Amino acid sequence: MPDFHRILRSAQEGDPEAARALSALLYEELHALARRAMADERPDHTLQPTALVNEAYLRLAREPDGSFADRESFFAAAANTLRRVLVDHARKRGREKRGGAAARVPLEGLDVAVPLADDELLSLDDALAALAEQDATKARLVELRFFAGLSVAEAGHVLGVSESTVQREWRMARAWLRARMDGARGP
Amino acid sequence: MRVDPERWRRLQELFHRAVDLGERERAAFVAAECAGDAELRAELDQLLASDPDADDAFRHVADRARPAPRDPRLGRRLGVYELVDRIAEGGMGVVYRARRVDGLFEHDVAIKLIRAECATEWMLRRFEFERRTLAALQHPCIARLYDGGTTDDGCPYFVMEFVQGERIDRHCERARLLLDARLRLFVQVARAVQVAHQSLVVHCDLKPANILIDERGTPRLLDFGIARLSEDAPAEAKSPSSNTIARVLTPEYASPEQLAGAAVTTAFDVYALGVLLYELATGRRPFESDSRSPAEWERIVREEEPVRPSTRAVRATEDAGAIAAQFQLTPAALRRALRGDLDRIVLMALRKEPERRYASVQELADDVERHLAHEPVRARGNSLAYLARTFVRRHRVPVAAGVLVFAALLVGLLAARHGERVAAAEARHAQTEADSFASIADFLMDAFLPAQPAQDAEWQARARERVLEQAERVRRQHANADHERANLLDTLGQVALRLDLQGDAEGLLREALAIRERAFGRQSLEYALSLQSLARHAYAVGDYAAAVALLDEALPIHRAAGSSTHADVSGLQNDLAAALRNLGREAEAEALHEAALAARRADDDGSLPVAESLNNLAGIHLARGEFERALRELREALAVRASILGDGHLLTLQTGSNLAAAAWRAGEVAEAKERMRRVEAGYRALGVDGEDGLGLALSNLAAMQLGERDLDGASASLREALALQQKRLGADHPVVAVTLATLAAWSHARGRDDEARALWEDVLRIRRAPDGNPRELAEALYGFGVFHSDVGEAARAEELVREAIALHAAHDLRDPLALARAESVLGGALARLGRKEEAREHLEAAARLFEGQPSAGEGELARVRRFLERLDRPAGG
Repeated sequence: MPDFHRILRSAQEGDPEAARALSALLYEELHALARRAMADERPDHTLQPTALVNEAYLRLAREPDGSFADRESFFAAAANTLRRVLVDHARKRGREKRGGAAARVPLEGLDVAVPLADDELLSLDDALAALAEQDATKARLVELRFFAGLSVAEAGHVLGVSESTVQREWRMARAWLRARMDGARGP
Repeated sequence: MRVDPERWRRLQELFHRAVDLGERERAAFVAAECAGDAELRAELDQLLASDPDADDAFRHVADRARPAPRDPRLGRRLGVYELVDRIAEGGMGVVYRARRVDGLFEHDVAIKLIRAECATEWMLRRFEFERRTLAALQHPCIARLYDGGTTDDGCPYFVMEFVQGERIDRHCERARLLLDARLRLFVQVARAVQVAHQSLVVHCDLKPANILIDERGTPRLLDFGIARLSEDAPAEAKSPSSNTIARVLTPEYASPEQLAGAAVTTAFDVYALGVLLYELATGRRPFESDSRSPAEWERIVREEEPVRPSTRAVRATEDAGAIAAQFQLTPAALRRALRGDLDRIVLMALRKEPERRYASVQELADDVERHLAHEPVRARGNSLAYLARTFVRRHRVPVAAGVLVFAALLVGLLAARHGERVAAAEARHAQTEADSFASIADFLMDAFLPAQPAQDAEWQARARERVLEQAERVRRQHANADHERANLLDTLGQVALRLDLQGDAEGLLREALAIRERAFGRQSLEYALSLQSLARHAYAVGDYAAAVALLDEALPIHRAAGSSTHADVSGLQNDLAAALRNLGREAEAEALHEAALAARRADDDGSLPVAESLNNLAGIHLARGEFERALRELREALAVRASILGDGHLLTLQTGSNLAAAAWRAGEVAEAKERMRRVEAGYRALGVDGEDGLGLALSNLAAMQLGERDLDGASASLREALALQQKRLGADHPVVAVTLATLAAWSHARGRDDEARALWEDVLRIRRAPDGNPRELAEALYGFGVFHSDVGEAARAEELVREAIALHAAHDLRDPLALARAESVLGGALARLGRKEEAREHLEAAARLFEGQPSAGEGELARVRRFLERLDRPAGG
């Protein structure tokens, strides 16, 4: 992937074409990884989103010691793509076998100690979409923290805000999502 | 669906302000701010109910449903009580205010209704068992536990004294209590806990939410004994949710061992009180949980040292001014108030190892009271010796490279073998499979990780992350390939060991061991290799006995596997010998080194390993004063290493340094000095990598210069040696003791006897460490004895030297020359004390011993004989 760093840099600089190319590249890669991870292994294998992103990074960036900035922007770019991959998978499985609770994704980034079943992932995705409409920054933050596994500091760096702002936004975003997801499921 | 931006901003603002308030104020705040806007209020309530960081960090896990507007349980009866009000909601359940319906008593009680999924059969049985103890627990500061039972639908409940009050942290904050007032409040809390402990009740969940200050200003502790009911249930009796809850249960106040699931002890409460004291004194907790995962939290609590309270008080990144203002102080004044005693008290309560905390809550409370009374406190900072020990533990691999005798001799051991392996590979020597995995580890180390000292916490954290990530990948990708999985996990374990991640290393190595045991059996070479890896870990953490046991198990497996592995057998013998020598088992160590040497000599590819064996053997021989033999061995080892590795290689320099020290002790002073100068230059050329060796070379050089009365030269060497060694090894390392002893001798030579005496005391203290080497202790005792004899304190000299002589006998040190010198000093001291007959006995013993040591003992023998003659002259002659 010789062009990867160039594309990444252009995307970082705001080139929409590059951003699309990057996203396509990532999408393919993450899909392949997720397919492998889900197909090869035991049916109950837990797939950790952050592990996937890491792996994709190692494969695409080809230099485990790549510069910090590159890593961060990669993860930022990967967050949304990974979210789509996971949701696609969940939808697809749902079509294949109704109600089947196949692969589970631990929602550790959200501090929820329970694993997230497909339907929960889908409802999180819905809730996130609604949150994005209301407050794009918060939705983006959730993607970064939850899907890409960025720390508070890293997320703050990507979003250009202070750590304490991240903490506050994160807290409110989680409360909002939780309230919304609970509400959607009914009392 | 989408609310307009203005309204959204308002909602955010109210949310952030509300979450900072206590439960009571919050309700009032919400009501006031949302007056006339029911929709806003509903939204805000819903958000607050879903807030993940609310006091009960786990509420959302156990209770995802929104709280009902009105609790259907209100009005229901439980036994003789009617639930009248919902007071609070916690992880384990809901707390109600209740009233007796039989009118027997007027007062209200609090009833804690445990969520069905948190309750276990075991918990209820346990409560039956403990209710008497709990009911008997009476103290003005402890809310009584009256009764307990089970509801019709199977939820257990506890009936407790109803306490009205404000959480202790909020009380301090709101009332802007001065530091001393907070400390007095803390002492009251601690005394109550102490009384409970004396009744054999441990709280297990002490935290501000459980400590209320009533209207008279008295602290009242809630929930005593309740957490414990679920805390130490046998694993099979714990429901999954109670497990989750035990881990999530306000982790900020749980000690490392509590998080790890250790059996309940009072040390849990000591730690929790330490966190509380930290919080009351700084307005912050020692570690903030933020939104960390349970696993990460556990790691932090287990591994990271809390910032000192006084430092925390003025942290620029935090709102130091506002916090200090709560104490009605400036940040600088708060810092001054905390610095010293309070820092020490808090940190002692928060130590990771329960046995190093205050032994009881009483001691903790006593110390805080002493501080309030301006009396000296008992808490001590981590002693230099402790810091040095943990430092050595952390850096054991490189440090273990130096096995030392009093004349400061460096013998390359395990760590050195790493370099040797690499060099051997370069020299195209054949390698066994084990070696190739070690090389992978080396490669990973080099490729993965920038060279940097392991003290850098962030760097280490990143490296650790990487190792654990890789391990996870290995488990995933090689799930069905035991051989590869075990090999790679073992390799990663060795990488972790190099990174000073001893805990992770052990986990990975044991995982590999278990795989190999299952897949290949306990007689397989694979299994033996895992034992060796674990032995390396044991060596690194200083557990030499464990290393010996592991290698003892591995050795016969290699032997049974036949001749193809004999390079492995000798390598293993070498490691075993090194561990044995650290345990003071010198004779066994020597025999093993000899055996390994013989095997290696028979091996075609063995020249570097032969050098290793010779080098290590020489260490033992030199320690025993067998100079000629040691010199022969070292010369051969040096020739091999220099020809294969080159003159500038670390291992060549080590042997060169050893040879110089040996030559000097054998009396070949000119050769010794010349060699040591060359070694010094070699180490300097290696930069940081050579610092350990340089420190030692300079220390030895100083001893030589001192021997030649070159006091100025010695002074310069000593200064540099000490600076290097204290930087790399810490203040109390055995190697530093050697340099300190030389410095003591230098001070004595300069006539600064007080200084010398203090230095000798230091040396002796270091050498008396429990796991110390008896030979080195004997040498220090002898040295200090000579000093006393020199300054005319014969009685003290006698005492010290006798102890040294006793060590020679007790540990079979087999060093006749050292023993002869000790006997002669003892004889001299006794003569001075007028105990002629005893003196003669010891002087004659010295003479006999010197007679067996012609090379080094002639001058000394003559002196002893002259002394004996004088002793025989009639008194006054």
